Amino acid sequence: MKNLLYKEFALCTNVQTVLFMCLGPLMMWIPNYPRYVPFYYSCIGVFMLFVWGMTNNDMVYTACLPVKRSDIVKARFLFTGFLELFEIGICIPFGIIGNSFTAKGNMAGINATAAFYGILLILYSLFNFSFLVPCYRKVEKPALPFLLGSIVYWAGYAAAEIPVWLKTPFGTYISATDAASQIRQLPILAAGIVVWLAVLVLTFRICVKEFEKVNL
Amino acid sequence: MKLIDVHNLCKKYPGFELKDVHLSLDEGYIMGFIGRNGAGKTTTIKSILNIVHPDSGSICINGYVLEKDELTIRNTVGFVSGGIDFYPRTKLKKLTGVTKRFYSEWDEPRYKSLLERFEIDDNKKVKELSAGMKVKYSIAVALSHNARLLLLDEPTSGLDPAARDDLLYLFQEFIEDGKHSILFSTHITSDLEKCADYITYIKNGKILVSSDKDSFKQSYILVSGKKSQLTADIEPHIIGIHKHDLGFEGMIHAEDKALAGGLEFSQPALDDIMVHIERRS
Repeated sequence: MKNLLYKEFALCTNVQTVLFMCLGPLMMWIPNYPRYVPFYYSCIGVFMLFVWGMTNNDMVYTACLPVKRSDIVKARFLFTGFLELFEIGICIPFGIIGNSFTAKGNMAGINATAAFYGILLILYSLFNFSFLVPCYRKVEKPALPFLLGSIVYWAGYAAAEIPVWLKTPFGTYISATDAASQIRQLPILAAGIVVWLAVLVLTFRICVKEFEKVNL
Repeated sequence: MKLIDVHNLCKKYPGFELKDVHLSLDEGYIMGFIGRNGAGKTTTIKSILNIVHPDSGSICINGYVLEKDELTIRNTVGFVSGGIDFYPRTKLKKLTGVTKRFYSEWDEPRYKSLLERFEIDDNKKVKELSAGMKVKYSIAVALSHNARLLLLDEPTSGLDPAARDDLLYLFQEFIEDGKHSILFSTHITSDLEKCADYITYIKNGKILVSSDKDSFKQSYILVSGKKSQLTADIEPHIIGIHKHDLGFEGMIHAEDKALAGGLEFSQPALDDIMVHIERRS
């Protein structure tokens, strides 16, 4: 597995993925900006891994190596998971700074709060499931799965922002930035982590089954 | 010992079917795997590596059964394709640096000496190599992880005659210790005239013939004659008949030679056999 992960870093990581990942923290500085948008760029970064793989015949290259197909999928999932968590990790400090820029809070939607990151993990889960499953069903054709993943991500984004836009009690609760409120938001963060992990494992199992059937 | 032992290999795609493919190759030999484009050569080779999943059949490589010992088989097999570029924008040094981590028996000094022998600069990117150099690089990688069997899928397509000759010499060298073998898929049959010990002919997904090269060639005879010599007795036996104003030419099975009295005979090359067999349909 460590060799496959090394391959993901050494061969599959590309300039586009790195650039899109860098956009996240930069955009978290922007006052009054939808906070879910920067993380969509990390979804594009994951998509670019597959595009890069397709351009370089990565699937056939990897499938010719003495490795199990399930391990090929596992390495990609671990790498995708790492990218998503890394993106959140580097965005957190920038989100805190971004929150401090506007006294009235983010006018475009939710603030970067603990609940926000929990909901974001659920959006990542929706994207991972809707993008990765069709991606492994028809390998080397990632464009349509990405379109599907994007639609699902944006639909999830709208659903998550509606309570904040409508200023409902729930919206106020998840967007509050003071320390006490953020502590009260921790169950949402915990739920997000559980959902993200569970969906990642479920998606992995489905993708292994799909990939085992594929003729390269 | 058999390095390849394939029985009843079947694979069905919409519009194409691999039907009961049998392949058997002992160590120390080169088998030419011939047939038209789309006949099933690549599907067969990919099935041996489980890159394509066979619907049924048994595949045994180097004594290991594919279903149980896929990873061991991959460790002992080198796959070289003339048509696929992996990571064209990556330097060979980096690509090899990743690839070698997967092989338990990687022989770095051998790899370095092969690069030197092939005059390959591993600071070059894959796309900067010529078609021949790409094949040589793939072979260098395969030989450096101590592959006992090389599966070559059209490795000489697109190479100039000098580069092809160079590779054929290398293939001979690879098998001469009697412990290694090569399955060499190609439609450039002149390459096989030079290096193959056995020929397996595949047509429409079905193995037509599999035998040693000399027997294969001797089992056919080229015939030609005048129009008047094309009798009802002989015509059904002629494979790939071509009629023209002066007469006809075609190929017959050697056992039908007695029926063809009075015709002109000549020994076919592999190319002739392939042309006539394919012309029949």
